[in-house]
Amino acid sequence: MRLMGCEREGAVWRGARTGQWGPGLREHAAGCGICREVVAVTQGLAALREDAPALEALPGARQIWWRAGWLRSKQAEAAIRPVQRYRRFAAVGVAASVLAAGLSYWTSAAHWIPVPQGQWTVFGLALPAATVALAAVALAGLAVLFTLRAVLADD
Amino acid sequence: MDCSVAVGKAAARLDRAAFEAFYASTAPALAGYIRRVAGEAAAVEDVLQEAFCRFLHGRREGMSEAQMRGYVYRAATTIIYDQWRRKRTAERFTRLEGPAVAAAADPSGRLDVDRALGRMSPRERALVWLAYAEGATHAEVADALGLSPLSVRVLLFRARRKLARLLRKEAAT
Repeated sequence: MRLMGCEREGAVWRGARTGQWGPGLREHAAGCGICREVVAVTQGLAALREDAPALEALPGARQIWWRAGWLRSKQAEAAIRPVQRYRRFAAVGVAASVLAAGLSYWTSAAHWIPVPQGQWTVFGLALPAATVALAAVALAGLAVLFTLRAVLADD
Repeated sequence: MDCSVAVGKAAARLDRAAFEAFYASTAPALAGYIRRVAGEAAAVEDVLQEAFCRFLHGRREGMSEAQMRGYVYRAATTIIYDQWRRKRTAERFTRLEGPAVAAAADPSGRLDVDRALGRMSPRERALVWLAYAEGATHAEVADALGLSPLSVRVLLFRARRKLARLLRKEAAT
């Protein structure tokens, strides 16, 4: 008897599984310690193999396919979450820096900004020119911020 | 069309139809494997789903059908081992779920085999199941269990010897 295996082990396994024994194989299996084990184990497991569930009793392939897709999208979302957080921090930081710079330089910059005097007529209403100009600047600033936000979101 | 042909043709770029064909050809045998290696019928559905999800998520393009099959078996084995380790760590795992009552009439000897398998480790169960129930080659067993083919040869020899001894013992009692 060889220690680790028998050269007829494969044929004995097939015989034990299918019940079709070649000439002399059954006698060999009865006399060889390794092949006896192979027969006992193969026949024992064959009984359990018949208990394998039918495909209909298992979860559907389509269900698994969609579940895998859903998990993949969740993982992708989780992966880009830190980037989105960083973008928000960056946008807030930029806005705060611009505001701080604007406030600190306002007094000196105010001398250089030409403030319109008198009154402007907007939609038939006569309004102070300075107020209209400030409102226009504020609207332009908001438009710039919204544009930036849209660009960052698309990236 | 034969499942293996459908899978083979679309293996390079696995679409849903090809996956369904691959699933149909692989899932029942894999479920049997999970049932015996995990040792509990309740684990089959979860482990099966998780293994196929891992496969869909981690597969490479251009895998052959044999590689795909090896992948899902390896994934299932890893999941079962992880669950077993967690249970063992929690000192809750003792034996496989066995028959609640002693076998009254079991002409097929299934309960004996079930009990014998229950006295083996998950790796030993996986080895003998793949080799002797599914007829996998040493290379396929190695691929499924993440072992080298040489180790499989030695470990399989020991596992088979152990199961044969346990079966003799079960038959004697």
